[in-house]
Amino acid sequence: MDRRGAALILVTVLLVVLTILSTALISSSFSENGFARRYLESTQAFWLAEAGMNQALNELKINPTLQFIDNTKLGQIGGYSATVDSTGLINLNGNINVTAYGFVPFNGPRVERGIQVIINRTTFTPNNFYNDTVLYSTGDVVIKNNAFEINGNVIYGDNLTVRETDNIHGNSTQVTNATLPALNFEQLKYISRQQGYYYNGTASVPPFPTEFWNDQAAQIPNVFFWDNTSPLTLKGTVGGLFIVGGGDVTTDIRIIGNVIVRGCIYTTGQFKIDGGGSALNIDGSILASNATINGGGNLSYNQTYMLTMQDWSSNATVTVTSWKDMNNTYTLY
Amino acid sequence: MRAFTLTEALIAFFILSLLAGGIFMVTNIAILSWNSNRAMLEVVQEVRQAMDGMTREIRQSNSPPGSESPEFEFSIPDVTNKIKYYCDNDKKQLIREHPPGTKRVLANNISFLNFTPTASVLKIQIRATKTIRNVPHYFSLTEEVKLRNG
Repeated sequence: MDRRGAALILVTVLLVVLTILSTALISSSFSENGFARRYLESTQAFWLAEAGMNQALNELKINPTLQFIDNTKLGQIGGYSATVDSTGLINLNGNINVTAYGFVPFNGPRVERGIQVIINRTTFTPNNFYNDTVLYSTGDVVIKNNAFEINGNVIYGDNLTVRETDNIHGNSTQVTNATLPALNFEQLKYISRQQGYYYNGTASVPPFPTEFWNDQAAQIPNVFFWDNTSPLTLKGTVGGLFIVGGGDVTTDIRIIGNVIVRGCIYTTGQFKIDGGGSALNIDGSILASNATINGGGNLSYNQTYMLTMQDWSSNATVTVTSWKDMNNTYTLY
Repeated sequence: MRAFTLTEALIAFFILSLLAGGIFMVTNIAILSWNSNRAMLEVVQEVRQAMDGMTREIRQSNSPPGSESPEFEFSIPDVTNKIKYYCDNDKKQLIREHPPGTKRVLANNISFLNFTPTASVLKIQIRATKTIRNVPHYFSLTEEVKLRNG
């Protein structure tokens, strides 16, 4: 029997069998590896989304107008981003939707995971002083004129000197070691710049906003920010949030003559009225390091204005009321 | 050419059968262990997958069970009905029920399922038992989940 050609056939058959076997093995291990990698990256993306959410919630405590966190790289693995669903510039308190995404890798992501959270933001109110407090001074309050009427409560840190006590239609309370509330000055500066009411390094008399609201529907007030060391003198009819000094500058503010103010005045220095008349009207509130009133007029508390100012407090608590994983494992719902 | 004697053939056959027997035994053990490993691996994968799905969903739940319990029923945001996880002890299956009446088997061969609450952290313990050729094989998995809405 001639068997010389059998070896080739045998070897070929054997090779084919081995090739099929090894191909199956390799492809199955490749797909297993792919599953494992996808699972790993999905888990990494989830924790990146958590990181983004934590950063957003932390920033929201001090920044009431946070809109989004840009794509941020974290480590060598991937990155995150976040968006805050706020309709206007001021969506400060109450329920806010925050969405955070984690993705892997940072450039050209293969995997993305998302978290959606509803938070409740509440600003911190020291001693509840925003309530009905029309005049808040961390130092003295001196009222020299007997024709100056105050409708609301007065809080003072050191001494209260009033010529006519009956003119204060509210409670006068001493709070030793009183401090001015910390406002979010950086955001206030940003908004006043956008509105054209930010003054820095100029002593010229600016045009003042005349109404409190810049956009009442969006609840955005006019923000007038006087970031100078020279004192500011208010004239005519003005409206808005007046931040005088603020941050690290101490500046005084003066009112001379019949000025109408619709809004809140916040000064790190002295608030002073010189020679007002019966037509001097302040509808809002005054927060100052000390206050001297040397003229007639009216000062009345306005809760809407005060609450708007309270929204700019830089110290808020953020509580998660609803937490949701945006990618669900089960498709049953 | 002379043929083999009977003795030679018998000796050769004996040696060959010894060798074949040895190879068969080794191969058989290898195949059996391969099969049981593969069967166990399937169990492990199933349990892991079930645990992963459960933790992802339970992470969104509002409140932990009052005390240690073999089942857990909870709500998550934007989902109307409650979701329930429990073990069908007759069929040895881990079940997810949502909405009530709609059951889904997440894993088989489950011999133990337990939820232990500590504040807003829930410990989930699963044990799978599979008997392969009269030998029981066990796989246990424990995870702790922080309940984000808890």
